[in-house]
Amino acid sequence: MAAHGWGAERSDARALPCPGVSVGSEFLQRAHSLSVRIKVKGELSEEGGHGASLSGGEEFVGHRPYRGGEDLRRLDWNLWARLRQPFVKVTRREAGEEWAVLIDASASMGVGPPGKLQRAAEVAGALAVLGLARGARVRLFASSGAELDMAKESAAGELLKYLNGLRAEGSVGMRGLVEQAAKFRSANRVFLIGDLLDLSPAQALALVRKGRSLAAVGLLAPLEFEPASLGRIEWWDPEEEQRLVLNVGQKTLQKYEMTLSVHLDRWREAAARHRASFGCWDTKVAFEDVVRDVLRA
Amino acid sequence: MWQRPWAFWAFLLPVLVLLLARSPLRTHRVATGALNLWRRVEESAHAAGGERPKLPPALLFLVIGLFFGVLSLAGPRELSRGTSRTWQIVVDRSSAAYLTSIGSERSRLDAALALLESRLSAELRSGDSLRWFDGSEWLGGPEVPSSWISAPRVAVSAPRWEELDLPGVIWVCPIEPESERSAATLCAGGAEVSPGAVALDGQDRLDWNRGDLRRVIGGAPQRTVMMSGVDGRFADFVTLWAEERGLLLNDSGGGTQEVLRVSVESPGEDWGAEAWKSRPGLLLLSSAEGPALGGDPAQFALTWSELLDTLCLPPTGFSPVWARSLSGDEAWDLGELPGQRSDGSSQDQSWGAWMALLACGFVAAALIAAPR
Repeated sequence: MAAHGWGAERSDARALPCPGVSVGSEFLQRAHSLSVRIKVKGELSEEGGHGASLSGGEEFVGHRPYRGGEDLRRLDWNLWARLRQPFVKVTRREAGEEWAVLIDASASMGVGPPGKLQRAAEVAGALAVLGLARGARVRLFASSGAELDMAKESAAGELLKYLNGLRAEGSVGMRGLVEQAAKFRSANRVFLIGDLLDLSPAQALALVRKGRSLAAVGLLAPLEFEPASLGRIEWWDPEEEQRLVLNVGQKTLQKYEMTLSVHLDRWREAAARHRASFGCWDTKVAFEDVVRDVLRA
Repeated sequence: MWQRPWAFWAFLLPVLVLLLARSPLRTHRVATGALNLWRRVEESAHAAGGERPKLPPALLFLVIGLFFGVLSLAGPRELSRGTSRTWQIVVDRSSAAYLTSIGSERSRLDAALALLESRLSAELRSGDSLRWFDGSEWLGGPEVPSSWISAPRVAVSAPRWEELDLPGVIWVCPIEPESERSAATLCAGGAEVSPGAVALDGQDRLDWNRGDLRRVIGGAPQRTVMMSGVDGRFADFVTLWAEERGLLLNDSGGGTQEVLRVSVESPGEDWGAEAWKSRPGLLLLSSAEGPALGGDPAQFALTWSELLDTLCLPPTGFSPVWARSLSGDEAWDLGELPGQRSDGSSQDQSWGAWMALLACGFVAAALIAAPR
């Protein structure tokens, strides 16, 4: 039986179009560059979630333009008096910030191209670089069980090794990770990165609590985000080995787009209610743009 | 009816295009993490089972265009209701037509008739009729008269082709005759040189082989004269004449060929005052004594000897040199059709032109509708 199970898994992995991850030093350079640009422009929200307790001292690192709706307590009134333009103080927490980056590495993440797992790994890696640059402790959790605990920027080699070791396989996805919330109970920022199709908004947003921000990053392959192929399609779920044969024409595509839109709206509304952030991107979008949008939200 | 039915093979082209184009309609297996979303789509009333795959309009136009193109190529001809045509088929039944090539049992006439059958079927409309002519008699029927298949015992001359160069007339012959042809259809089955016996000389036979003439001593076939009811001096005369020519008398044994029959028949009304009647191979006398011997006996013998020589049938297997030396290729050249106008403004051509125009229109539409 064990041999049979192994054979079946290997067969699935071979059939998946984008089962693995490939990142190298060039990726790290891009991630560092992104981190610097975000730091300079002050795009990273300093709040640790709605009503976060800023326990511990905060180090002033600079200013950025005020954005409508922000907490006025963060406005630098001295600067306003001098320049007559609103700026917000940007600080860095001196200690105690912990980020948890949850990566869905189930078989369905092997869909692409561009592969969902590849893009998820890039986004996770960039967030890790950014978090480390802020002095935070960054912990990465993959649904396959692989974990990486990083506290120093010098751990870039470990990060690459970890990301390259990820593989889209098995049926345990983001839901399985969320159910292990105890592992990252002390995290101030939690990032969920995956297709978020096996998870209800309520299950994800249950992670929101005082002093913690939650960002749900949905990544869909082009053929999931905006399918275009017309004809007779056998849709195949690599996780549950289930199939559905459909003649996909324009009407069916419109119906799918509506269904996906409803699904995403549910996520957006639920996230807004919980002061969490949510976004969904096509894997054709570069990881830099995804990360920038996630941090702006 | 179609002028070029072989063009229907070109229908394979649109079929091939359809088969190739169907490849996008085949089931493609695609991995997705959004199977639940597709399930919801399937469960909705509108999309149960999905949509029926459709052919792209450009492809549809192209296939229709090819369809009309093939029809145009095949040459549609309008069927005229209430009219019928008669094809007049002139068959060369001369001895040249019944010769066979070396190693073949099929005669030149067989070959020509086979060619006629294969080509004429494409031209025939329902209601068309056939008439057959061998230069002497006309016969009707859908097929060549069966008695014409084998060589006639009495040699038949070739038809007078120059008088038969008319629309709807088909010349069936081994090779194209020398007569000038403008309206008639040529159906030549082809011929190869056929060496063999060409003449008799007493008991000897003369064989021809591509310019060489060889005497075969004693090679003449045994021929016999059958005489019945004849008596008296005329019977003696016939006996002497037969001996002189090397002919047997009343010998019906195996291997002998009857070349002349002399017999007595009661004269009917059509005889009139005649004492005898004849046709090739037969001499009929009104009385047992035969014609009255009057005048110069030598003149009588000379005259009757020449007549009997003329009445004798040639032995089978003998053909003249000109017939044996014929050679030429198979040829089919459709001339004017029976009842067809020769001014070129027939309705048939306009049908083909309309088909071609439709084909061009649909192909142009396909090009316009093709995705860029």
